[in-house]
Amino acid sequence: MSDTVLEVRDLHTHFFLRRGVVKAVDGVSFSLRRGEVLGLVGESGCGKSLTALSLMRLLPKGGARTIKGEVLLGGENILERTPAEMREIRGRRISMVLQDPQTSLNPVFSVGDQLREAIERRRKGASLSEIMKEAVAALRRVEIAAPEQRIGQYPHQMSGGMKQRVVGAIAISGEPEVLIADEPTTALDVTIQLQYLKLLKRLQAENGMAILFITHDFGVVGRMCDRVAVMYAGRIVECGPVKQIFEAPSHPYTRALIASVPKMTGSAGRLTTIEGQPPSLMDLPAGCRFASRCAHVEQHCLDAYPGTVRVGDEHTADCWKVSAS
Amino acid sequence: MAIIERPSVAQQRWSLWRAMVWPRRDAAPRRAARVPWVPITIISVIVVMALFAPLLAPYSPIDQTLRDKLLPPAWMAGGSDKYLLGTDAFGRDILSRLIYGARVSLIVALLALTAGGGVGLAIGIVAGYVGGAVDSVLMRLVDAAFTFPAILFALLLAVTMGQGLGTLVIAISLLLWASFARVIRGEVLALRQRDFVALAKVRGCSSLRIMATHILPNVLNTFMVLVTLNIGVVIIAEATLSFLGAGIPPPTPTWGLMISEGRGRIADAWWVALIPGIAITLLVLSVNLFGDWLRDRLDPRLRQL
Repeated sequence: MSDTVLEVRDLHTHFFLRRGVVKAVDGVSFSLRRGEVLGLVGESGCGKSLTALSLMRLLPKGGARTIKGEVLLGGENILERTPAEMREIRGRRISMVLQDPQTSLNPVFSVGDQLREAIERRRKGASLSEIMKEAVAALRRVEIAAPEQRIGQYPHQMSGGMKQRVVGAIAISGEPEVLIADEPTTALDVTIQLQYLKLLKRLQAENGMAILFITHDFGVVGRMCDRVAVMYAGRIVECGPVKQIFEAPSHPYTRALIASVPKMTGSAGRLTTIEGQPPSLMDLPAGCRFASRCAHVEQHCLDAYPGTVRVGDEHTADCWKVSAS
Repeated sequence: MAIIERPSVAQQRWSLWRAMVWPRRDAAPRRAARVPWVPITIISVIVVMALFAPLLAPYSPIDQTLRDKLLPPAWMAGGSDKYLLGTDAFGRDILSRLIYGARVSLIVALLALTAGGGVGLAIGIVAGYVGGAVDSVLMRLVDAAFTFPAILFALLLAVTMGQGLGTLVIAISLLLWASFARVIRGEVLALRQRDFVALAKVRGCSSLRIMATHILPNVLNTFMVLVTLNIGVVIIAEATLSFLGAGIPPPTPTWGLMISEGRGRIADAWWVALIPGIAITLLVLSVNLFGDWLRDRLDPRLRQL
């Protein structure tokens, strides 16, 4: 499709440890269109964050390597760029917001100075007053009241929600095509969460960037995303439009996940849980990775990994039990 | 049931008066340690002495007046009003030598802390931030530096390079850098994990830029505390080396050299060695108390409250 800004094909990022190989991201493919929000959901340790870091090529130290796959940004594979070229891409074409606003800002610099660093890169040779004017505008864009005063303040003088908005302002100051939001609301108060999500939505509508929204909160997915990709043990097991995933989930894991979200209606009984544990990423089974916890498991599920099946328009699932439409 | 005695009105009034006249630590809020005015005053006096030595010293520190040799301080029997703190074996005024000697101590402290501390800071940041093999190599170097007997090394340097300010500064820097590097590295290891470093990378900052603009300002507090706490170490090292004859060559007065010269006559002319000894003790103690206070003041855990 022509308006695809980011396409990830068969991405493999493994940790090479002395004890063995941890296949944390093991064949992830998805695409992201201009102006779209794609939710990436899954439980802790399924490889969501590592997928994001692989896209930025900022893998954690200690043996993580992307060994296979392509990350096409505007048609070119950024996995083949040099580190210097990557620095040009980061911040201007792909940017990121992290989970914890408390540590996302440098405590010894004022908010204005930190914004300035981001703006200066894009506008080389601009005068200080121009840059500061732009920094004030950036703060105003993320709905910070009295930005002229706030710009001289330090991170510890701000609340968590405000800091996260500043982080957002810095992230989008380079006008990136893709913004990766790695659980940006997890550390915020519930009341502030909604505000922040609305803000992200508005910013996205303004400059048409695509957002890869990583979360484990299905409620947030329903509010934010156009499409969802469900990740399990290093792979995307189901991907499709939000409405279809919520109303007609195909993969048993997605179904179980949605069933375990507490309902606002009905009796407050015990919550549904998924029994068992995900497989060890060091020792993955040959067959379907969810097989050991799946209620519908059959022999061939254990023997081979199911292919990706198209279950609907833009809706795919990796399961033997679903049939192609 | 425990009986709690209520303080009488008179007692209350008394403690109020006492708190106004002599504020005690427990009267002030827990976190705000009292400003150490006495150490600050002593340090200021010594700094002023060093800066304006030619104006303050009553005599030349090196001119000998053999007629007046070994005079005791003015307040003792046989002391002369001309020499407030007495004279040494060559009839030199001890007060003047003390005042000029402060210069040497402070200059050596300044240079050695700039050189040794600066090198330690740079190595600590690089080792902590880059990590991996670079970190291992640098930290083994630090370990090696700690195992080295610093005094021996300084004596060796003095023998090979000749005595002088340069040798002294190099020797003391070699003693200092390792402890700076180790502490700063630890701090950087923790900072490196913080998200603002990751986001600086996301913004496209190079490693050099992150170290210089994001890591460095965050460790400057620690660095300043290390500097003040090490001033005492440097002054003692300078005195030790001068005492051993590996420091500044005579006749330039330094406090360590003065003790060394007075050592032989400690029984009959104790003031020659004791007075510079008291000066060293006062300065090092003051600097350490000041450093302790600074450390408490700049403690990030208290700052965030």
